[in-house]
Amino acid sequence: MPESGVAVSVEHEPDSDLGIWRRAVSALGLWTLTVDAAGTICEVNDVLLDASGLERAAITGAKLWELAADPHEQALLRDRVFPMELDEAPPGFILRVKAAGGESHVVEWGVVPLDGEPRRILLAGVDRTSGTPGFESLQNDRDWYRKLLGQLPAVLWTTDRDLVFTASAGAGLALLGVGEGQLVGVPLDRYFAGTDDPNIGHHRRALAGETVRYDTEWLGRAYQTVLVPLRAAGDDEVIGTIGLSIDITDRVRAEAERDRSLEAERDARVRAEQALRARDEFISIAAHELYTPMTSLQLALQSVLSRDVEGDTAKRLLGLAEKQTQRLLRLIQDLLDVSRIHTRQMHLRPSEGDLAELARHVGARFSPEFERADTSLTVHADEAVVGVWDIERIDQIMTNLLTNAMRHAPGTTVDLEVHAVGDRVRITVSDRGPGVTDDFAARIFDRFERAASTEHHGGLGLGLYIVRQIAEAHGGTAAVSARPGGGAEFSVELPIASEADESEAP
Amino acid sequence: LTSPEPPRVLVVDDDEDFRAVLSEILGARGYDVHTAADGGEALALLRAGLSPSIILLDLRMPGMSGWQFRREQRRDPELADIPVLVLSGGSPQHVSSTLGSIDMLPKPIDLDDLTAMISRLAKP
Repeated sequence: MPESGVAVSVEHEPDSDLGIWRRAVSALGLWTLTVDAAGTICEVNDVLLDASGLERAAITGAKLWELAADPHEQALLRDRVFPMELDEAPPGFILRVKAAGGESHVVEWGVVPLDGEPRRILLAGVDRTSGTPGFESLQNDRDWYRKLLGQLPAVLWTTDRDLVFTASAGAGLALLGVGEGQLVGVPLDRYFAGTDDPNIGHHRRALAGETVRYDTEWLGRAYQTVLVPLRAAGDDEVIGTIGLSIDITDRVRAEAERDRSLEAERDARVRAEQALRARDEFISIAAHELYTPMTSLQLALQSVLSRDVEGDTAKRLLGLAEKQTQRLLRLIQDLLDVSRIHTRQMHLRPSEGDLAELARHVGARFSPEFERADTSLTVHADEAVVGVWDIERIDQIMTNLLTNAMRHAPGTTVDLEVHAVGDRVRITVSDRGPGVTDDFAARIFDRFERAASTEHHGGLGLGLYIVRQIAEAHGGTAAVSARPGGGAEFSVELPIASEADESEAP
Repeated sequence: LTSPEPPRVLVVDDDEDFRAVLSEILGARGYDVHTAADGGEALALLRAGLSPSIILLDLRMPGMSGWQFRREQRRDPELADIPVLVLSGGSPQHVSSTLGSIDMLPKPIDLDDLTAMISRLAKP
């Protein structure tokens, strides 16, 4: 081993020339090394060691390709470049050599096969890292592309004329479950086999010379793709395709999400406008309902005060006036109920009571009114149904249901029924009036709703809403259905709670 | 000249109490008061020969509304000339063109306004 480490096989050089060679190589700044036929590094010179900062011991005995800074170039050097035909003049190559501290040097190598046994190869390299800016920037460009593709949710690929993948790269590949380069050699139609994916058609158009832009979905992700014909340098002939797909799944999802929330916003606005219209109509109806008894009251009082009338007439007018104050009070009560229910302030005052008895009581109270309306009322409540409820509120349920029946089915027969069904009580008011359309049945218990809203039935359209709210406050339900044989059947079901249940309740 | 017949008033309103109050008040002022609970009842009375000097008409009524009544009335040459005074809780804007040229007293109603209006409008 020459102490200089100049990688020249001493046996083959005249002694007198050795020093000249060594100095010349050093002066030129040439990197030299020798490898054997298996690619194992035998000798390296000081120029290489100084420039790369590598230890001699770490290099000698290693394989030539282990000098490559890039794993791809390692593979390339091992498999493609190094198995060279040594009897002809082998071509040189460029290799990025790793250096200490994670750096690398771009070195252009010349190859000199040496005669003799064992067979050796001399490699002499010129460090081009700083000397050839164009080359450096090319290398850097390649790094940039790699880095970009490694960061972008994208897939870059090329195919040949037969639509076989010739390259594939990009971080987007991981989402497709394949590694970089793994698709190489795979025909496109095998990759998309069994699907009617439009990609193949687009590739054919690109082969025909067209630049194709399209959006696709593949394996559950959305891609925006541009596909360009790949032409040989200086030639118009299309030799394949190059495609770039950007994964736009997140953007597509965000847009869909935005569309959904816009739609929800629109729906909410429509609902709010409907609620506003319903409220406006309610206020207009409420004003009308308040004006009617108010007008009767005012006219009756003015007439009595002006001494237009006296005696029995005055008495009758004052009686009518008093009745109007009752009506006004009821209307105001209704309004307050609705406002309280709306602000969830319905407080039940539960006590034990018999709803059959209550039904008979309410029926008796209504009978004069029904008689005047030429309507017959029958109460079916023979078996006592004892439980814990807010009796005044249940009275209100029956009152509202009977008032409703009298308004909408005057002159017919109305039945009020109370009976236990298992652990629930069922209160039913059925009439033989015009009945309820399916469409209206769906919202009859809503606030401010009533049949034929332009007509005037002497109420605020709140009665059934209040019925439902009271039923629900008791843990029950309210429903309307068609009475068999014609008319409407309103029913309220409430759980029959005992005192014990009540005390357990929170 | 014989002493004049008492002027006849037809009150059309679905509110029973309102009809009762007007009957008492106008009766005490010497009117011959007739009542109907909706437009249909009113038309039946008119076509049976009741010939009022004025009709006091509510608009929002179940059955035949005041608007529908007014359309029927104007279409019938026998009835078209009877003066109508609309008494309604709605604002005057709600009175649509189907009512034709018409006088209106919105509720609530002052007694003096009402009697003055009736005297002015009633057919002699």
